[in-house]
Amino acid sequence: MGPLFKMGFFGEQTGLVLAFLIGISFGFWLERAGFASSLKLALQFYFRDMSVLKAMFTGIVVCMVGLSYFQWMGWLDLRLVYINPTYLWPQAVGGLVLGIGFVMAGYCPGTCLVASAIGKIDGMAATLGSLAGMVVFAETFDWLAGFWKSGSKGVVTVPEWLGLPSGVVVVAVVSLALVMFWVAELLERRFAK
Amino acid sequence: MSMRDLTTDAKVIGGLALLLFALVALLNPARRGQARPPVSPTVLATAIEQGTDHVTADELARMLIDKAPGLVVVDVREPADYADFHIKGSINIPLPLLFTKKGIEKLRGISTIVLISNGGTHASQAWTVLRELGVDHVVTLLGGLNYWVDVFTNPHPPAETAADPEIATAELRRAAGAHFFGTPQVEEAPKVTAPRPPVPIKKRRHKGKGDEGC
Repeated sequence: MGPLFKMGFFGEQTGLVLAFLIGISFGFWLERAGFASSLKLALQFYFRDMSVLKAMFTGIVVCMVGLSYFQWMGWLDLRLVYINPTYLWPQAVGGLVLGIGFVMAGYCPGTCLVASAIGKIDGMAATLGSLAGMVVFAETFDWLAGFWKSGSKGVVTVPEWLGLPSGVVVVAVVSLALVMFWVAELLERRFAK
Repeated sequence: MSMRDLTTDAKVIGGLALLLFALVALLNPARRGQARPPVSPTVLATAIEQGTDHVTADELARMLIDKAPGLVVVDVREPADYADFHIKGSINIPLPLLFTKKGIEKLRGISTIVLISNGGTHASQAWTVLRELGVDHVVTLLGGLNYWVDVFTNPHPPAETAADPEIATAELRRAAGAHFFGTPQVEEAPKVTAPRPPVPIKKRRHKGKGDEGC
């Protein structure tokens, strides 16, 4: 039956309204979890508060296990779920640029909007900075286009790449996440003031 | 509530539950490398039924003239035919080349691909293959080049009683014809008849006393 939009359960207009509501609630819960504070976000780079890593990875693995079950039970056609195509080099560089920006600003693109929404000036500065980055990227795009398209691997998923059944990948990623949570808490205790 | 407020017990129980769910997911019969098999026929059927598989000549003309961002018009005919005539701004990828891995990789990530052939059959076949392979944003030109040439080189003037949208379409076609075929489409000019030569006014010569008037 899913994805609901692609199966025609609702049209584009309703889809946009739903996306708006889901986006607002995502922002609301980010704020409630304290992720609108650049201090809290920055503390993870000092290993003193790893809640961002823990929250994000919890989200990832819960979602992954859930989708796996939905697909298994026939509730969701995973073939219809959009997956970003992989462009190896530009995505590696893009990740690095995002990481540097994250460390410098104390916000990622989502949390800077949340911080702006509750009136934090540093959040607004980060939002303006990311908008400025987008303008620069768009304006220099012709020059960057060759690199932007390099290392194209098409749409790949980890099970396809490794040739493994998807269940094995689910177990591997969940185990990895659990180990990461454990290490994160060790680090928190080690580096706590 | 932050993660730190959770008790150790809650964390362990949560972690174990997650691991248990993941282990059960091992039994998921999704086959190796089949996490994302080709697109289901239902989706293709829906696209065809809703008409999202094609654009009309008018829509394409407007997109090309407006230089719609991310638009790539792919002519799937043979290079000779392409050299003979093609839509200004289209690129040529013949069908055999389009169906290679390289050809398909070229088209991934483009936001709108319009496939063009003479009648539309080859374009539709290419559409099906590309959609099956997961290239999503692809449409064909309805009626193909045959219709394209017909509609823009031979635009019919709208009827006297036509509604505004029809007049707008006719005007777009006239303008697009001029854009794509170089020759402005001038309607048959009304016959201009030479104006009659002015009748010379003959001045009567007055004779006699009257001449010395005021």
